[in-house]
Amino acid sequence: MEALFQRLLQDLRQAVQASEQNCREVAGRLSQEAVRICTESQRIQASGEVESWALNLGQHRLTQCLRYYRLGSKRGRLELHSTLSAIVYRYITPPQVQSSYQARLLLIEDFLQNFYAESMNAFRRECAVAADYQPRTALELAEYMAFAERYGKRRIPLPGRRSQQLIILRAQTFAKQQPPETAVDIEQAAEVGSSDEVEQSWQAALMKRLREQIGSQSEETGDSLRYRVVEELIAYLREKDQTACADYFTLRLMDLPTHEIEAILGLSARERDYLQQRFKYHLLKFAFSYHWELVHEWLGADLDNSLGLTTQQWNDLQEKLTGKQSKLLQLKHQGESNTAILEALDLSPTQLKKQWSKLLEQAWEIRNL
Amino acid sequence: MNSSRTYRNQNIFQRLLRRLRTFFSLLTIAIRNRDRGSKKGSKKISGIRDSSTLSEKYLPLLTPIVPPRFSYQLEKPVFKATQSLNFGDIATVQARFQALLRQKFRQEYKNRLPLFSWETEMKEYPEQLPAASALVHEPVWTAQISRFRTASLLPDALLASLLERCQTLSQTPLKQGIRLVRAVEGLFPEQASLLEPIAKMALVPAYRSEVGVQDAAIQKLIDGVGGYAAATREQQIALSMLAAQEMMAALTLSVSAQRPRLEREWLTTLGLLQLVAIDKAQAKQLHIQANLPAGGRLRLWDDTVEQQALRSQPGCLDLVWTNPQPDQPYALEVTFDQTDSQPLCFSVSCASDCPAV
Repeated sequence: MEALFQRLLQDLRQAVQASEQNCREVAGRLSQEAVRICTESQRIQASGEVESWALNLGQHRLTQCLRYYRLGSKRGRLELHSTLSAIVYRYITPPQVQSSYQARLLLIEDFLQNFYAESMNAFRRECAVAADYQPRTALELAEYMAFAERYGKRRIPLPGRRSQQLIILRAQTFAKQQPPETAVDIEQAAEVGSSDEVEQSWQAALMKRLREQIGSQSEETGDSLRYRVVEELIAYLREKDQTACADYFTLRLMDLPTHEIEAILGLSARERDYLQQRFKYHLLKFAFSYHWELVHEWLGADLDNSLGLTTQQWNDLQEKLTGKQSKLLQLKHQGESNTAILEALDLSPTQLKKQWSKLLEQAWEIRNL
Repeated sequence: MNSSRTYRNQNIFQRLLRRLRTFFSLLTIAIRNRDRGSKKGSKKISGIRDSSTLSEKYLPLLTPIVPPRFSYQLEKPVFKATQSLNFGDIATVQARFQALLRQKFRQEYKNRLPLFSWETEMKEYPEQLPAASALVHEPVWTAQISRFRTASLLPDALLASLLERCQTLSQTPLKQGIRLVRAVEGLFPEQASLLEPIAKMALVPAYRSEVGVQDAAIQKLIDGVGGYAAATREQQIALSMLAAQEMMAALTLSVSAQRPRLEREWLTTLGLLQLVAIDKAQAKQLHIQANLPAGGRLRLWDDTVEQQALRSQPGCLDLVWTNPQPDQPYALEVTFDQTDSQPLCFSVSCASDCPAV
């Protein structure tokens, strides 16, 4: 513990302009918290690497603290407030009233006032400072802000091997949306400490080791199609410089009503309409051109499944196709490469893409009628 | 032609989005079909080829941690545990959503930053604290604070300001309620509308004649609040007002026919200061006696006339004011030689029922 304390003290002295006394106090609290977590974690104790864990945890806290220190009182609290608001946003809905951005904002502000008071009390308790301690220096304020963020993000174990972040549970209670199974002694659970980061780094290390041993073929270790489609679409939109569309898509996935989406993106109804049109355009391009295989497989409408058409529908499609398109479909179904198809049909790559896209659209129409 | 294409595209879009939401049932069917081995395709998209059965593969992935509010039961549960489908829990979506909101909130809050529970105003924090003695404005006089029940709960920074205000306000012929509001309004600039109602509440115990009842009410408030910093804004305002009341009571000597002699004490770092105000009605005089714990000066004055008494050693000083104006507060200043600090200013007055007038 002494070694950790000295190490953190040294780093602190170099980074801040606080008094020696202040540095010692803060370094002391940070190292105590790190050591406490190590002592209480069975995993860490069993690992035999207690010192390196303690150092990691301590340095992580110091980094967090210094980040807020460099931002200062105003920007620091802006950052903290924005981060915490963003976490609880979806969980704070006004009861019995349709949610709106402004309504949530009001609730969030009230909620966070309570939360800040609670986290200050938690700080006083856990760091063994005076009952009326309050930050007076820039360093102390930064220490508190970093603590408040960590405190809010602590994972509270719930029944059924689930867990949830403390601030989210608080937000749900506040908005009177608390689900019954979270009737857990949150105070007690919160005091056990933030084993969350221990768990996360542990799992990450475990996954890495597993991947190395099993040697899986893909990076994603079996992510579901759903995840992939969504992620690919977002990546595609960003690639095409359509971050606004990606944002719009994100908000739609969060199931937010239109007026709330407009409020968050700062758009008028007309602007949102235009954005929606743009999104549709890119979505269709994604579905029918660039990533058609992924999307169609996801929908069970890939070539292996006859594009998701019944026999009758398949026949209907054949009737609608031109000669070239018919041949194209056949070649694709046979699994011919694009290069071979280009040659066989005497098309340019762009033309091929367009023809295939049209074909898929027609199949889509038939399927959805 | 154009409109029909638009319509078609719109339809496609609507349906695609609907598919996004009903993804799970389709996947269930697809998995079931594959598990039955009914359709073996020759080509698969990379990332999905895997020898284990798909159902085993997907099982752990389909039980994300979701807040129950957003989960819904499947119509035909395939797996044992309750499944929840929530796109909001996909890591990328979640991260993006929060980043989007953070950016929005930075704009939203930048002109109205929140205050933390112990703060009364937005300010930058100093790198280092100034030396302890300079922190408090009136070091000599603050020793008395610890003898006040409510004022002793307030933070130092607040006390200095409050003490100064109370001295000024004790000199003014305002009603007590207004005095309380004036005393604390500088400390709570954002809660101006709360001040009057709380002042009314703070005064209520004072109207009750029994001191015991007053004390009990105040004690109840003090006990209920776990310290100034932990108190709500309203409680902080109430505490500040009660503290102001305590201070102003200690700074005021208002003699009358019923109470021709009043005493006050004020603990200083140099010792105990004792004051006595006596209304000598027959002689139409106001007598002030002071027992100074250290060498200093006593000064009694109003707008036009002033009297002083000085001594270099601790001991008594006397001042006599002839024909005092009724209900007119006079300033009674005490200063010590050995400190640089400001004088402490008491307020002395004779009530108009003084037979002298």
